[in-house]
Parts: sequence; structure tokens; C-alpha cells
Amino acid sequence: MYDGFSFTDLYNQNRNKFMHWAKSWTGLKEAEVVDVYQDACIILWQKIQAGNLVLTAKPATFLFGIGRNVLRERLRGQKREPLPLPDGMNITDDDLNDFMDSPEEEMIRLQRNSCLEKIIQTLGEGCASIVRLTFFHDKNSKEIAEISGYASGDVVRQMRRRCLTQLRELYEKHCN
Amino acid sequence: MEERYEYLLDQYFSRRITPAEKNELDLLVANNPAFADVFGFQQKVSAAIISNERTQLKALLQQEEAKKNKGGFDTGGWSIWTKTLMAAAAAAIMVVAVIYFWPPNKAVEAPMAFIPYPNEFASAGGEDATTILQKASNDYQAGQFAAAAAGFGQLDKSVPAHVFYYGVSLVGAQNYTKALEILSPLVVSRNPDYAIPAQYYIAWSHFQIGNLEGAKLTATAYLKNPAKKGEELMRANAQKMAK
Repeated sequence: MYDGFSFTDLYNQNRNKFMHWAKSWTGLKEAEVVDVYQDACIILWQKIQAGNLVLTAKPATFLFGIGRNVLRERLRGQKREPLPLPDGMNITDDDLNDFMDSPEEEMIRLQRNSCLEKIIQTLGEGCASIVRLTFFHDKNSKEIAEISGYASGDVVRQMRRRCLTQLRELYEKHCN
Repeated sequence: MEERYEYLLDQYFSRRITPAEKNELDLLVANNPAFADVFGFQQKVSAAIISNERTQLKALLQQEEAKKNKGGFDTGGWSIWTKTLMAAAAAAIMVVAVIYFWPPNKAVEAPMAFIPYPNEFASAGGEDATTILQKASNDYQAGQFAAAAAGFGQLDKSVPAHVFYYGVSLVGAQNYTKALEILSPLVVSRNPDYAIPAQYYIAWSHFQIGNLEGAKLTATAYLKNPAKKGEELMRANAQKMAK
């Protein structure tokens, strides 16, 4: 968790500037730009929360850079010049590589599985923590052991195996 | 499952997999149906966790937008003042803003804002805080809820007070999903010191992520308990959520 600001701070502090910028460069309607801006905020916030991100520029700069990429996706097919970022914001596509899903990840993401989402929420605290650290915070077994105070990565692997087996059984029972 | 397989999965999901390891993993997926099945399921779990989080964050932002559309106000630093000045004629907004920022003990009407529970560890803190509890207590007192959550989260979870303040700090840090996970067992525990106020913070968390039905149910349950001194604002907020 990044301690410097809250999610809604991030959203509110940059919203008006982003809206003005995006609308003036794309001609999209207010609601469409709000949707893009929300997606950009969520992508940035999830990376910050995952704890793997070193912010090499101000959060606002990342936000505009990510927003520009999301806008590009929305405007795909329309031949447009790359949107220039506001003054003082310099960020390259390479800087933003970590924020983009690979095509493979995107495909899996699109196959939304709300049943599995509900089942995950029923996991006990220990399992939920391991699963979340593994799949959301991108931590390996050794790191999870250090964070959570388990004796070793092997212990974490054993626990995760049990948790995933339990999850799989519930999934087969309720979602198939 | 073979140790090597688990190692490859570990590397893949922690995003540390090397190109050579990725080739090995791809070959396994192509030639070993059992491994492909395990890998596929774990990808689904990963996607479900991220998707669930995104849905909740989106709901929160839509609530922020709804506030703006109602002519309300945001909590985003200087922009609230800019907006308030620009809308000086809208006296109603000013009144709401004043109530919002008024110290809880002086407010005449309960605001829909986060209300930290009185810090029972206040005497544990201090300027020379050294222990995790002392530091967490200081962070909580200073409104640094993310840091407080990090501290309380490290304490012995068999102590209900630690769990409770961990949960409340998570609520203050707007980590509502985690807060729900931490606070829910307290309600089941039926320890009245914490089970009852935990219900309030659970209702508040549901409300913040847009689960209005969950907020209503839990707030109603909270209100069924006898009123306790010092929780007047919480009860007033709960009444709003229970409507």
C-alpha cells in the first residue's frame, strides 16, 4: 500500500485536468472520458497497491501516460496522431510497459468469472492472504514466507497447494 | 506436482520468469494436460482476483462521480476549495462542506464521512514510539491509516483489539475489501466490545464499495444493539445507510 495518498485523492486531484486534456484532444463525450480516466486510475492504483512499482515520475504523469494508452485503445481504428501530454509531463511507452496487460492476460481477463470471484471471497484469512499475495501482489513463495512469517517458501507452497485444491473443489461444485 | 512445475508457476505468477523458463513452461502446457489444467486454473484465479478488485474500485469511482453530479464535493485536496469558491453562491454546498470537515464532537448533524473509532491504545503511543503497537497507535492517531494498518496487521491476531484496529485502519485507508475480510470474524466472535462497532465498519465498507444492500443489512444489525456513548455519529451514519 502506498501511504502518500488515497485512491480517491488520486482520482479527484487529477480528474479535472485529465478531463479537459482528453476531451480537447479526442472530442470524446464526457461520459466516455470519465470511463477512460477511471480505468487509468484503477490500473495505476492496482500497480501501486501490488507494491512492485517504483514511481520514476509523479503519479499524475503516470496517470496521463496510462490514460493516453487507454485512449489509444478506445480510438483504435481512427487514424490519429499520438496525444501530446500536458506541459511538464514526460513519459515514454517503455516507462509504461509494466502497466499494460499482455494479449494473453487480456484474453483471460475478458473471460470474466464472477462465480470464481465470489468463491475466492469465501476463503479463510490465511488462504486469502496467500492467494492474494501470489496472484495480485506477484510475490513468490519465499517472499510470502518473509512477509507473512512462515518458516520457508516450501511451507507457503504446501499451503498454497491446499488452498488452491480447496478452491478448485468449490469451483467444480458451484461454477461448473 | 513436481517441484520443478511449482517453481515455474511461482516464477510465472511473480513475473520473474526468464525467457528460457517461459519456453519450458509453454512446452509443459502443450505436452502435459495435467499441468496445463493446473496452470489454466491458476490463471483464472489470478484474473478473478484482479477483476474483482477492479469492479470494486470502479464502483467506488462511480460513487465519486455521483457525488459530483449531485453538486456535492470531492475530497481531493485543493480542488474542493476551488470548487467551493466557484460555487460560492451555492450556500448549500458550503453547509455540507462545513459539516464534513467539522470535528466530530462539534457536529450538529452526522456527516457521511469516515469516523475513526476512539483509539484505545492512545496511551501506548508517544513521541518515542518504539514498538509496533506504539507506532501503529501513533499512526492511527495521526490519521495515517495505511501505516497504522501495516502496524496493527503485524500484531498478534488472537487479540481481538489488534484485529479490530487493524480492520478500522484498513477502512480509514480505503482498503475496503481487506477490511471486510479482517472485520467479519470479529462479528462472529460475539465479543461485544468489538463485534458491535465492527458491524458499523463492515456496513461502511460495503457502502463505500457500492454494495448498498450489504451496507443496509449490516447497518440495520448494528442499530439493533443498544446505543453506546461516543458512538452517536456512527449511529447517525448507520441510520443513513440503513434507509
